[in-house]
Amino acid sequence: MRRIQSRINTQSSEYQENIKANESRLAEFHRRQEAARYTRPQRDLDRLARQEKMLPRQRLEMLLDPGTPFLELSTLAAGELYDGDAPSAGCITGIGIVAGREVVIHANDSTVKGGAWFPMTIKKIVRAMDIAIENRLPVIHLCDSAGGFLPLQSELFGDKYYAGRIFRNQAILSKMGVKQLALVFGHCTAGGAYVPAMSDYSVIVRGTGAVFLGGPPLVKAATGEEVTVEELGGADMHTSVSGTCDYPAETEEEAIAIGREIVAQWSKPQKWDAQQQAPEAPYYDPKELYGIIPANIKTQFDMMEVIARIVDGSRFHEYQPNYGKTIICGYAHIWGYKVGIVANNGILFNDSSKKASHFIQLCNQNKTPLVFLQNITGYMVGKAYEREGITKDGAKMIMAQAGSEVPKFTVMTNGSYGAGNYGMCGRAYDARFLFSWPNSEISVMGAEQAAKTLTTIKTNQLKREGKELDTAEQKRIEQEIIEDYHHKSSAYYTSSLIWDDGILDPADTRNALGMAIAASLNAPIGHPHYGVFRV
Amino acid sequence: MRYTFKIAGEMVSIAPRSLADELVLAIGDEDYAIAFDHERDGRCTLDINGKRFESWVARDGDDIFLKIDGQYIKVTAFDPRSLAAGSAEGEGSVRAPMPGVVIEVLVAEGDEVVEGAKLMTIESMKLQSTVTAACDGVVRSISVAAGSEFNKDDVLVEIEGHPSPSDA
Repeated sequence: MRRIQSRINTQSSEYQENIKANESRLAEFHRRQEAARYTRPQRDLDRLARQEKMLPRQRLEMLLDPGTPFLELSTLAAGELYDGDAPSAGCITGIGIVAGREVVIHANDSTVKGGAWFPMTIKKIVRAMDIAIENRLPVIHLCDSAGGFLPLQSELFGDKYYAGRIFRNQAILSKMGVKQLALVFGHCTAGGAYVPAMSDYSVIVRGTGAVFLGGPPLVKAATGEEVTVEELGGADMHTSVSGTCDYPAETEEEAIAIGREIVAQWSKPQKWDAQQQAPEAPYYDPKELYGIIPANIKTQFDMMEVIARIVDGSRFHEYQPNYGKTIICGYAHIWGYKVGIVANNGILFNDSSKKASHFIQLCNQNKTPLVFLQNITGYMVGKAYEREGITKDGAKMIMAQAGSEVPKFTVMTNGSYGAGNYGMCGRAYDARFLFSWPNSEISVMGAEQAAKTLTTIKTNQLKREGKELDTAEQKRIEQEIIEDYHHKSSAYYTSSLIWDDGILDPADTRNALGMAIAASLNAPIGHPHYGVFRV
Repeated sequence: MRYTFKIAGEMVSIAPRSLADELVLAIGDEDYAIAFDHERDGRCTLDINGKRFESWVARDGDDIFLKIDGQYIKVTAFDPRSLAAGSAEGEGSVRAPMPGVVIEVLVAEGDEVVEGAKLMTIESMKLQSTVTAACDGVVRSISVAAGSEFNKDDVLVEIEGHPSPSDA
């Protein structure tokens, strides 16, 4: 494959300005991530120390194979919700390596409201379990949760994708022959009790670990029976009487050691035999992305320069280099894995939409995983384009997306607006993993356009009432809408709602994709089948 | 397929073929059986037709520097695809790639520009992009100003190209 020839001038003022803008964005990103991971009220840290419990990240470090990478997901989930009271949505999820096997980790964080499940906690856990199902990855649950966060119970209990989905997904995994292990470090109450109960294997720590449908206070209230935690659902009762848990452990360290030994007994999965070659670092330094990602989200940049800083050896085989040039399609390798890349390089026109639809089908024919790099303001609008069938050409892309069977990975590199989000494998189109860059924005239309549309509606409304909107008032309304729009379309806001699997330092994109692709190959790649393409 | 390399200043055409573990290079009418063993530090034991050489290899982009038998040799690989791809001849009229509005005009009539020079910033569909010169020349006319709207294929700037050296 030919190496991409970069045209970036690292001495230019534009490059330097971008560096400055992105360095401050990255500082903000790292500050938020650090806080979500480590900043906790002292009293919660003291309580864990009193209980002689490890912090969730200490458990994780002990559980994972030393020196192996951990792909943490949705670190900033719930970051903009609940007045910041549930950093990281009160749990850690991710892909790690245990005893040489790729596994999904789901760890409750009892430094956040005793590990209680907020609505976003449940969304994050369900997403982690969906990842396990889609990629056939075993799950290790590190249980230490107070149960559902009662003040918000109406937002987490009875609906299809609420708490019940966690246990449903556990059953589905077991049915698929994908293993699960629960390590019970703290109380698993009510619904939470089903996590170890539905796992194929479970280890419970004596003294601190407990599993029961109702804790002692609830039992007392319901039936008047007085009972201690140990009698009701302690390690000895469950491993010697009820058989709800399998192995007792004296300490957390012992529980983790037993857990690692259990995983080591599991048959190693036969991974999909994907096209692979020896990995090669990109020829162009990924850190140069900081000088390429524009300071202003509206500024166009060359996505080929981004590809050059993600793929092996910066080598790329471009498909249809002279057709539909506002989208780049082609083959490359990431950490040695062959991938097809579909990347926006401008607005989607008729030709670029058709090219992308065709290339998605080619990758499916070839069983090549697909990487989408989104920077899309939308499909072109206007009379000429509608007459050429821009709507049906966009529909072709959606049909190709939805019928695609190869693993797909999406990175939000800058803007993602309107239907372009769909055609380029937005969240609804089942990317196995979807990551955002700190600068990225998602919304149904641009902030300025939304403000204009909404003020026009307002003006017309007033006109009908015989009133008029003065310019100052109009400006004020517009400004308000724009600010609110920017906030709610920011990566921090959308990541807080788990519209993605986490925000990435752009220079880390290649590593995250490498791990994600490797994990996805635990599932076989099926044959594509599509509906009717409107040609 | 034959590949072209520049080796110590000379263009050499080489056809490699590999059979099982063996690599054979056909150079001219002769075949050379090659085996090599790379070490981490760039040292390489090279076996050519059964004769062993201690050599050192360093890579710099498309260039490979080889020290063999006390000699330094520079090898450059030529990619046939890059040799084939000619640059498109730039035309004088710079046309709008899509409908939009002009944000800023960056040149004035009479300005000398080089190929790739930024002529104006335009915005369409929330995206600001730069219109650049397709050839070296002088800006003859600018048909739009900041704030003006245009349609696809409208002429934005006319550039009078310098005659290329071959015409002179």
